[in-house]
Amino acid sequence: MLVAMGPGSWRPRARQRPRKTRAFVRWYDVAMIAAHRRTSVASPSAPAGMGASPFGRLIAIAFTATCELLRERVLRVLILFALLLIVMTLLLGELSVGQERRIVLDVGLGAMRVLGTVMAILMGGRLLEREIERRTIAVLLTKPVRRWEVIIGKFCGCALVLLVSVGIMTSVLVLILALVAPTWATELPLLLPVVFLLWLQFLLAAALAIAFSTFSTLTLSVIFALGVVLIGHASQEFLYWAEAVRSPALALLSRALYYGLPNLQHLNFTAAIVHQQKIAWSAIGMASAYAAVYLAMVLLLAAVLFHRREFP
Amino acid sequence: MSTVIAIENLTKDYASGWLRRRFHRAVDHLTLEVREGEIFGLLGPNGAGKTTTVKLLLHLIRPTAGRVRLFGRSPEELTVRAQLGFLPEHPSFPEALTGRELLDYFGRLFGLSRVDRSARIAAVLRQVGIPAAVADRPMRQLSRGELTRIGLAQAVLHDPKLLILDDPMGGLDPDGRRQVRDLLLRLREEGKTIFLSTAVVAEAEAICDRVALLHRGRMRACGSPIELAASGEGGKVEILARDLDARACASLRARGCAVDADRALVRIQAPTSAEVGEWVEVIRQLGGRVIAVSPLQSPLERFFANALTASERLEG
Ligand SMILES: Nc1ncnc2c1ncn2[C@@H]1O[C@H](COP(=O)(O)OP(=O)(O)OP(=O)(O)O)[C@@H](O)[C@H]1O
Ligand SMILES: [Mg+2]
Repeated sequence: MLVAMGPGSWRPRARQRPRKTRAFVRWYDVAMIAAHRRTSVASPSAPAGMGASPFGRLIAIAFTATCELLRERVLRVLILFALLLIVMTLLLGELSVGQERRIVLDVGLGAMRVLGTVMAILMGGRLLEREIERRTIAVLLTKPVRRWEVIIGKFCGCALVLLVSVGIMTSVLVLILALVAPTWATELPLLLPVVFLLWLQFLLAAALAIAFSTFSTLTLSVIFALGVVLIGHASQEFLYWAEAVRSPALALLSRALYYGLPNLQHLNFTAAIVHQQKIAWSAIGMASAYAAVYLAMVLLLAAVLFHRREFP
Repeated sequence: MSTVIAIENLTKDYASGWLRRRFHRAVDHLTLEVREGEIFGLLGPNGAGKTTTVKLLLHLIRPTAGRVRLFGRSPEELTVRAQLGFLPEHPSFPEALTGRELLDYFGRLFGLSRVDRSARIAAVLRQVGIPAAVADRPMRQLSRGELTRIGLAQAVLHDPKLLILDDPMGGLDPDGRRQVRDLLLRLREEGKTIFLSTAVVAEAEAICDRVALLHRGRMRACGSPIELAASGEGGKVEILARDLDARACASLRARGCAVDADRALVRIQAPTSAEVGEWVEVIRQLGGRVIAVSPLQSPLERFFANALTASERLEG
């Protein structure tokens, strides 16, 4: 079929783009056909039944969330900015002779932490909020998926994108480190756990943003999540206050805030690596367990809030 | 014939206001049944509560009272949703995705294999008239009609037994309407059950086996279009005529016609209490030539117009 676009501009319509099918995909298809013993693909009809397995559904939701996030301009800009900052540490290192390694690690990891957190909060907040705001969520919720699967699936998509971003940023950091410090290879075993815990911090920030976005607007969820994260880096203060204030009610409140809000300093080992201290595996394990438990609680809260919500 | 949709005493109050809560009753004690294999039309003017009913059916909002059963089960159950296709009133989908990606995504949620998915996607895109080039564009670039078509495609993708379509003809061009009508009729032949809502009576009349009239959240009438139309009365026909002078027009007005005669062509709205042939005869005797005769309202539209005025009079 041809479409007239004006004089002299005939265009063939709908030319099928050649599909870049890799060999294993084709083999996969052949195997699937054999497995299903389908005689005709020309008039396909869907199999009756429950739909995909819960795991299959989670993967589909996570995969699509990843696709959507990777197409976000703001994400790319942030990663670019982070890389720029990390590269900038090279210049800073030049200025302070003998301190290159320290500066690169300190400033580089700091840049990663700030921008990664911002990235996580923006991504987590937008993913769900946008679907609710534009009412695209309604169709998704009429598919055979449970609401908590939507939350967990989207979170997994976020987590994957964050993992990739952290991977990219870490690679650049290691590259810079290799330029200034010949001992970089010995630093890797120190660096990787720190970066892993950094990733856990980002996951926590993303989960908080998702939880807030189940009941509020994008701006508010970003502000709330950012607030919790900022306080979370200084939650030790509440413990001091609890001891300092006279009023028992205020002391109780401070204590409640200390235990209720995430203590992100538990996950922050930047200082240790900068000062070349070895971090005990038990400390890393404890920190990871703390993050996992907190993450589970936040996601559970998000799922409950989302479950109760109506979509008029 | 088994019952596919059973609605019992369904009521929904929307709350508004934060300090002083006020309630607006959008659906009011609605009871109806949709049987297997029929096309059921929910009709009503804007704000009648059609979309609210659809959302209650899908459990996107919770009823204030009453209950909904699909295939005899709660609409929350996954087995029910696996057999359900839904087209929302204002189709909008994740903007960054292309239509094909969306369909692939939903296909995965239904557990279709890769082979099934690609074949089904090609088939449904053809059915709703979306060319491959459009299906490969991000959805933020699509027009409203194209989005409606994508919406229909995702609704029928998994070959569901029940389709719930909120205003399926909204925003479509005449060609699109015809395609949708053909698609729905074909699906009925395959034994699917279709529940659709629309504000345009003529559309529903053409394809629905049964219709219900909703007004201010209450059901005012329910039955087959033919049945309901038979009880409608007092309609009008429009007659286009030439060569009528002012005296002839005055004489027609005297017989109860609305006459619009600023041009050579005279437009006459005549009550159908008399036979249409008689009007033609009268005009001919007055020296006019009849060009065209057409009904102003279909019998069903007439019935609904009457039912709405009756209910309005009743409620003041
Ligand atoms: N979220 C909401 N909060 C408060 N009132 C609402 C809400 N949604 C709908 N309403 C009201 O409920 C009534 C029914 O709305 P509904 O959307 O069901 O109408 P409809 O029959 O679908 O109309 P249309 O033909 O315009 O689509 C309307 O009076 C509307 O103003
Ligand atoms: Mg509506």
